[in-house]
Amino acid sequence: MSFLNPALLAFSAAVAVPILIHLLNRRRFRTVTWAAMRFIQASVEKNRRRMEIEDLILLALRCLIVGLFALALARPALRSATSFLQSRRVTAALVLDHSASLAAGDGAGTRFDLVRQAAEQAVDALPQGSSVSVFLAGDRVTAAVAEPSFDLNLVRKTVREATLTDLSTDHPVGIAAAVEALEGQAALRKEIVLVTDRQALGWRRLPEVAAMLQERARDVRLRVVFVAEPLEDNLAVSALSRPPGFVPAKEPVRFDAEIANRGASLVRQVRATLHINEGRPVDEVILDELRPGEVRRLTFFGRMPGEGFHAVSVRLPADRLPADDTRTLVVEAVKEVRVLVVDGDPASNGAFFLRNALQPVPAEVADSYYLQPQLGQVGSLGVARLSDFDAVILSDVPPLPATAVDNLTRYVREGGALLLFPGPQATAAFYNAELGTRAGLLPATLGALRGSPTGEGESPELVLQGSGYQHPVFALWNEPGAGSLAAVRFRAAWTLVPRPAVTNAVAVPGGDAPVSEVMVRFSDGVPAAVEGAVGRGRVMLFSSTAGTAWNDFPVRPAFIPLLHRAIASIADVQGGRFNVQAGGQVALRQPAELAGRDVTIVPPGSTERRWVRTLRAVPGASLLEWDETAKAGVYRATIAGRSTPLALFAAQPDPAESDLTELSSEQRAELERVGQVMDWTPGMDLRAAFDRERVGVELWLPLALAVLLLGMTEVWLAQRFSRPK
Amino acid sequence: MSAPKPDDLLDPHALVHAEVLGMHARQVVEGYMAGEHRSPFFGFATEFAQHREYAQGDDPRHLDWKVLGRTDRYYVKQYEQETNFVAQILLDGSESMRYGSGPLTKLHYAKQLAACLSYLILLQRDAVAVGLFDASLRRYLPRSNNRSNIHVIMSQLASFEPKSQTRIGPVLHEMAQQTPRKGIVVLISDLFDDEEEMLGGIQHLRFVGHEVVVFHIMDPAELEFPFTGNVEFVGLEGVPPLLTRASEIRKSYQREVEAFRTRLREGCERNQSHYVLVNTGDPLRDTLSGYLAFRKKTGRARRGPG
Repeated sequence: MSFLNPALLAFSAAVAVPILIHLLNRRRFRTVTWAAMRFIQASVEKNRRRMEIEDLILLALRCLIVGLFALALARPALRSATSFLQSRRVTAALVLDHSASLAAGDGAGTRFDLVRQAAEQAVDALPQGSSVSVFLAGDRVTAAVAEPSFDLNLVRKTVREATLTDLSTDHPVGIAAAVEALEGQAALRKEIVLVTDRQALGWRRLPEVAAMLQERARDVRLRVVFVAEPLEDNLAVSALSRPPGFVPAKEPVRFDAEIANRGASLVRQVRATLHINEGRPVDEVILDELRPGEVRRLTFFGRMPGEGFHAVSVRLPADRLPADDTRTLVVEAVKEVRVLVVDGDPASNGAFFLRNALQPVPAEVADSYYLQPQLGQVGSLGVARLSDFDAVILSDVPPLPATAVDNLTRYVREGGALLLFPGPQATAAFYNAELGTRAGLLPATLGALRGSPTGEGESPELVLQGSGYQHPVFALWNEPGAGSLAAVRFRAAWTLVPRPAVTNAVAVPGGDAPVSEVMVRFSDGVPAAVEGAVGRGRVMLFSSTAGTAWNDFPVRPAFIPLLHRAIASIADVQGGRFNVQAGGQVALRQPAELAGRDVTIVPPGSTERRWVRTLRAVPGASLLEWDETAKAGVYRATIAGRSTPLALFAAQPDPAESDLTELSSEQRAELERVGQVMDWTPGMDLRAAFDRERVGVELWLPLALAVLLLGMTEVWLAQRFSRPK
Repeated sequence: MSAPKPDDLLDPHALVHAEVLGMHARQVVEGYMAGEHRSPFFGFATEFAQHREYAQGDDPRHLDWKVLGRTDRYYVKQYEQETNFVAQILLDGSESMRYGSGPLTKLHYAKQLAACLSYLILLQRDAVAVGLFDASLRRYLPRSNNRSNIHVIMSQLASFEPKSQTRIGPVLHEMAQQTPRKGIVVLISDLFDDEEEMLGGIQHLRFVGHEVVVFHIMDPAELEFPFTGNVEFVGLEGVPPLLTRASEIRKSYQREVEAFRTRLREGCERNQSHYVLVNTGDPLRDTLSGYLAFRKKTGRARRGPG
């Protein structure tokens, strides 16, 4: 038995009141001078014992009523059968949601302020002798106090000093960390207290939470404390990207942004601006109106002031959730991209089309154009310094000598980019055996030749798929205004048989898997181009020629952007690594000579806080690794002795985090089946709610009913006893 | 409580009613017949019977001047005379009679009753003697049939103040011994005394030939016990105070009172005596006329049609 309002137990002293009243009543009487005393004496003598017993019964009843009433005021609660014999102390894991949605505020404070307050109350509500670990969670977890600590002051301090991030929300992650922390504990009472807002996003994997608790934490009680009121209006920059391709300095560069109305009301005159390096707006778009739930795709143009890293931001006027009002992208403007073009058949026009497509500018400005193609000979491939080139294009090369294959393999494995356009000179046996099996360069094997290379015969022409492009290089042609690739005619093409590990998932730059990916298919479903990762480099294998020998693609307008996008996609290996979702890991390759040097990293919005990280040596390079990206914005990595930053990289909030839609009643009901759910507001006594649940059944209602029943009994008995007898 | 004035004791309304009905002796007493009553006892007649000492209220005409001349003592002459019965009215003047739930105490009511009865008896030319007692006979007015004597009776009644506890039995025994002549003994009391002794006294009176009429004086509160709440009852006759919740013992008390009355009534009936409950809450005239009507009726029945 425990009491939720133990102070009110003091009222139990009121048990003395009926006794005092009884004693006082005995002193309050009126005096009557009487003659017939003998009859009274006889009556009293006969009734004395009965009256004494009745007095005692009524007195006991009244004392009981007062005592039970005081007891009910103190709100007693019955502990569970096990805890009755054992200690009340709890081993708890406190999980604080510090995701981006918690930045929402009302001007006076944020939701995260409420989270901290509620969490402190949750710590205060723990029974004496309890221990707590603290986790700060979004879609990844930081263990602020990894092992349950008995030093609750330390825990409170940790809670007070917890900071907000721009992480996404995924409660199973935090709960899993808490479960893991509690699994090793030999405590009898284990609890997970998750303090968060009511955002539905975090509970999209609710069934997994239920399953996890069921399988791994049957002895752990989950308590979910919801804070904050719903937010009606919210505008967000839900996406910012640049089309695949190099970002040339001082050239207009296109950026695509998405503006979403996550609120419940129509918004008019929305002004979105583009900023470069946090300067003045360089472009702006004004939306007349944005309906609730509507997402509008906007295009901005901006010029990078020079070579190197630049931070590009799209901003909206500040609202109550500032975290998603700005989205920043780091781009690296390049001055020059060198491409080696090797044509296996000098009689063909492959090299011609490739060179002109790579440099589609007048001859007088060709030298200043950022793409600098250079023609090479097949015979020199074995000795050429391929590392001088950002990309190598092999157009219809015949079987190569082993030295050339080895040189190519080394180049690609160390991070080079290779594009292959097999044509009439190619032989499936060489490609598959040497380039494929021995060198491991090909993401697909060459199968039978399809179509008629000479145009004779009845073979129908091959055409590319007309829509539904998944690969970033081809995604441009999903837009209706970009024309259609289905107009391209192929007379002949190699059948590409992707490696078994083929997948359509987006390849992670520098990641281990997937190995290969179909970029585009013919209309009959046969792959027309396949991309694959080899070592730290990438290879794109097309099924037809780069000249007009087997197709008319080179004379189509789409050829130039396709080639540019392909080069940019495959050569700009690090491009994607500058931008990660908040909480993601950054791994940037740096020159090998910098290995072992310390790099200072300045997080977004901070002038004082800095981290130092040492560059790790890897074969042929050094690696800057960084995973403290929970805060959205631009991170600057500088190295002593350099005036310009070594690198910039940006963390972007999860666009889904802008959706503040609250948990539905069905989800809440489901959550309540998993654990205790309560809504906390400032001033609310969390301890009472916890204690009530923690200790079991609260007894005030039965006690109140007992008081009522006893009161009625007392009235009835008092009337019955006072009847003349 | 201040002593009532003598005239207060005669309730005019009671007297009017009672006078009409008259007072009928229940039994034929000894003596010669005079009016409706025949009595063998002494009275003031022409035929000398004996001397007795003068008492206040005696007509001075009956003084024996010769004896006065010779002995210088006051004696009146008694003659055998046609006379009525002699009524001995014994009034309980104990402390318990001082109780009254209203302004009227039992003693006051009893005095009024005694006064009325005395007056009526004198109106019929019957003789009346009045005794006031508590633990013993404290005052005694010897019998007299002189109407003017009523003032003396009133005065004595009015001036009497209770002082002590009741002991009815010994008083009745004393009366039985001192008044050998048959007559009517009227006992007016609340009877809060030893029942055995009291009934023994009545039996003694009956034994010597008296007709005994018991007027049991009770206050309405003593009959109904209307009290509620905590009440401390302080006894009038030295009984220790008693604190109780009155309403809770009401029925028990009423049963006790009823049982007491039943025992008294049965005791009286065994001794062929009248037991009359007098509720001081009822008007005296009703009490008096009610009893006399009953008495007249029962007297005729006993004497038969002749």
